[in-house]
Amino acid sequence: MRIEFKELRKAFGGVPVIDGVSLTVEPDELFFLLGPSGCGKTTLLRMVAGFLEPDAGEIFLDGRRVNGLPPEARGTPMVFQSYALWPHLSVFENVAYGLRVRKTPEEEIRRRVHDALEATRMQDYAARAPNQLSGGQQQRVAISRALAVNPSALLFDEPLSNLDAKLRDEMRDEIREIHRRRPFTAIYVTHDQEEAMTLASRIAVMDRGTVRQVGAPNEIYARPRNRFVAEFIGAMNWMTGTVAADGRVATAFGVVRPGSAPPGLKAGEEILLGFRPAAACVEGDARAGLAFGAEIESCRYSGPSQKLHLRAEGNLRVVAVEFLPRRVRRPGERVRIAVAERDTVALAPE
Amino acid sequence: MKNGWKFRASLAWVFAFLAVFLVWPVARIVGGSVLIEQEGQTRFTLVFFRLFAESRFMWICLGNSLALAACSTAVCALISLPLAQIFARRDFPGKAFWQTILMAPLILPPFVGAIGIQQIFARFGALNHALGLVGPGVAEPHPIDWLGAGGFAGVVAMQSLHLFPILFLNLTAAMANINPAMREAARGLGAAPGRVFRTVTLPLLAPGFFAGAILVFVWAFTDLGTPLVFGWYNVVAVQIFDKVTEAGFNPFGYALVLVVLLTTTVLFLVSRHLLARQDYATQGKASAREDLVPLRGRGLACAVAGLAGVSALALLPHASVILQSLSGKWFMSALPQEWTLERYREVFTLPQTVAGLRNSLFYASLSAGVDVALGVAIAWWLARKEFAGKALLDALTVLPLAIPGIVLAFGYVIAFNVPPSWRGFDLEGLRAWVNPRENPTLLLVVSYSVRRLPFVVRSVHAGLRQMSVSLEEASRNLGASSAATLRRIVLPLVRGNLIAGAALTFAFAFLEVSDSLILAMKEQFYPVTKTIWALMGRIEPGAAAVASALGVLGMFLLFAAFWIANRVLGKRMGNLFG
Repeated sequence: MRIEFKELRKAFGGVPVIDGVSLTVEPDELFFLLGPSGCGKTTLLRMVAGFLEPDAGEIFLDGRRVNGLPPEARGTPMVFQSYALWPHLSVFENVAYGLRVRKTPEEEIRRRVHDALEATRMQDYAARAPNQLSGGQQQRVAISRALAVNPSALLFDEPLSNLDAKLRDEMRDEIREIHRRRPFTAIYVTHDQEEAMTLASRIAVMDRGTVRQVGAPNEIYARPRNRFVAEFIGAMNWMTGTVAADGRVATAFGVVRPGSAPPGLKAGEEILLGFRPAAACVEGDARAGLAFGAEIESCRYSGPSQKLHLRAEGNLRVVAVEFLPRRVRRPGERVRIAVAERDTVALAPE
Repeated sequence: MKNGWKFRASLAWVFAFLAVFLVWPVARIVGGSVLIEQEGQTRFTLVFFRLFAESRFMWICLGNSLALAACSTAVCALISLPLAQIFARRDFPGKAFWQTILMAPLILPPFVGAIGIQQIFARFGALNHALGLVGPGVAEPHPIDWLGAGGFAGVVAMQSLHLFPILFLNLTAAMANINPAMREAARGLGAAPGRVFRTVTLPLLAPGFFAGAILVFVWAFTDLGTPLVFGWYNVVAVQIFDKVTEAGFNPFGYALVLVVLLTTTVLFLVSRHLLARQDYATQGKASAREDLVPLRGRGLACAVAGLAGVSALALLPHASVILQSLSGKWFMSALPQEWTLERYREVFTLPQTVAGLRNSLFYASLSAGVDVALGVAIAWWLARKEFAGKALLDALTVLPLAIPGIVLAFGYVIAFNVPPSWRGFDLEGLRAWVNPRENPTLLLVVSYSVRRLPFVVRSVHAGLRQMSVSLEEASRNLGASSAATLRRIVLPLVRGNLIAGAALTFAFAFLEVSDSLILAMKEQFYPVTKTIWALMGRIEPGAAAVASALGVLGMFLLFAAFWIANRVLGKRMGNLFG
């Protein structure tokens, strides 16, 4: 199913929560809405489901305008953060619910419930009551319940936020696997950027009711188009630079051709140049890129890597990550930092 | 941590109190109904139950009471379900106003409202006059019997109008507790709203609904005041009331009381079981706050019309009592012929009414005080301490919920019927204090407290559970003693729950009918409710109007108490009636 939003707007008590959102979700995509709490991502999801009506704008499911259509007529089951399994029904009956609503023959219900439970490896629990299951198991059943009706689109509302870190990791793999075996269109709301990076086909990063960037995870990470997206997805070091005549950027630490740059930069323009801490090569050498000496202010060792807080020449504070460190570095120590030019990001100042 | 001697001493006192005023009377009832004394020997017997079972009259009374309770519960459900649905899901102008109006029935004891209702609906009452069916100018009177079937309809109407707010509060709380995602999940799977209500909302609501319904049922089943006023005497409560005057020497009374006690206990256990099931419906906090759908247009008009209708009915008893209290003369006419404030002057001058007000204020304040002290201590021990007998204490503080007022009062009369002397010991001193025939003060105060104790304990316990233990540990850690921690940290933090509990105990003691009617035997000790009851029995003109004026005063006092509780507790009011 293709899902389209056109110029959606929604305000609560005069405060705009969705402020002009247009998006297209392609069939069989795992499309993520990612953003801090209060950015409007859940509101957007609930508008697709039909629990909220937009104040302005249109929603299309496969080209059909669904504004004003009640939730039950949209065919978009939701998977909730709180699982929302009905405690008075068994696991089997929970999953069978949508089929019973559709007056499916009993024989087929049995087969499809079994298939849906098998997809989440919960087929052995059909007779249980939901509150006899762990959180992770309950969420698997909730996913089965949504899958059983062969939905044209599935809506996930922070489905893993109630689980602990280890289970969350497992469930992520699980969802990816289910989606690979049996593709479906899904909109998935989360504030966890790692979840979005590992699962999404595409991500829309949202902030205060607007979409700041849409793209595949690697695109969002490596080529952020604004400071908000760059910093929401991970840490960033910034410095100022000037655009040269050949399109390269001159900074205090070298002249580079940025790996990512906004279109239409003019010579002489003042811009921001950034790079990720992981792109900073400690004691490395850069044939083409930034290079500078810096003094270590603090070092946080965490096993596979250590994070260095540095003061570079010109009093610039920089964070760098050193992988597989041989030893823990001491404050006061001086190091050489190199950044490859393809790892730099240019942004027009906001 | 080891428990000190101070704690153990206080615990012993509380256990002694509960043993004397809760366990002992119940044991006396059970004992009196299965033990018989013959030739100086005590034997076990079931003969009273056989006599009871063979008595046609007793079966009629039991049947009447059950029918009364069933009808009142059904009417309450019919009123409360739609109301709760509107209040839990919809937003509309004036919601808070209507919510307050709907609570109004709780501040008027139904038997007081019945006085006014009778004035209006009696065969030669105000309504038939207003309709021109009877009156001086009507040659052939055809009065309509509004109260129907010898008062049955009247009792059901009064009880329903008094009790529906309790069910309404319970239902609204139960609905609010259901995670909205439970319904949204069903909508997302293609179920229309009607189907969602039938397959998801109702099943999840059922335990809370039945628990509330049982509360109403038991109340109506054991209600004494309303049937008395309507002259509907063939119900178990009135029969027990009559048996008390036979001083509990009639074992028939014991058997009857025990049957009532068993019925209410079973119902109580069922409702506890249901409420435990209700808990599962609330698991999983809502991921999105429920969006209340605003009511508009026709829906709003219907809702307001319905609310206005229910409110008008609910306020009718209040209005009629106020009307009667202001009437100088009201006989054979639609409205009072004369208006006066004289009745209110009389309330404050007649020795009988002044004594009633003074007694009730005294009893109610004292029992509120007792409940606060006991409630804090018991709730704190249950929440924070480990000690032998904890489970027993927990069970004992819940027990009063299963014992109707009329049963406890009956138990008190027989358990504290202290003779002047026993085996040569002079008991006159004790008798003067505990025998209700001599002085009911102690027993009245204690009975009010005991019956309200579970609610106060629960209220404080809920407050303590919301409060992190580490707040107390921090205090102990900085050197404060256990008692100082209780005084300086715990009490201020649960103050809200405590004030609300005290206000409601006070209101309850003021309103209470069955304990008051049974235990207050001497006129000088009458509380307000019994004074009203006594005034209504007088034939002299104006006595009923003075009773009404007294009722109106009590109403305003209770309004103040509920207002305070509501301000302090807000939406959690429902907890105190569940």
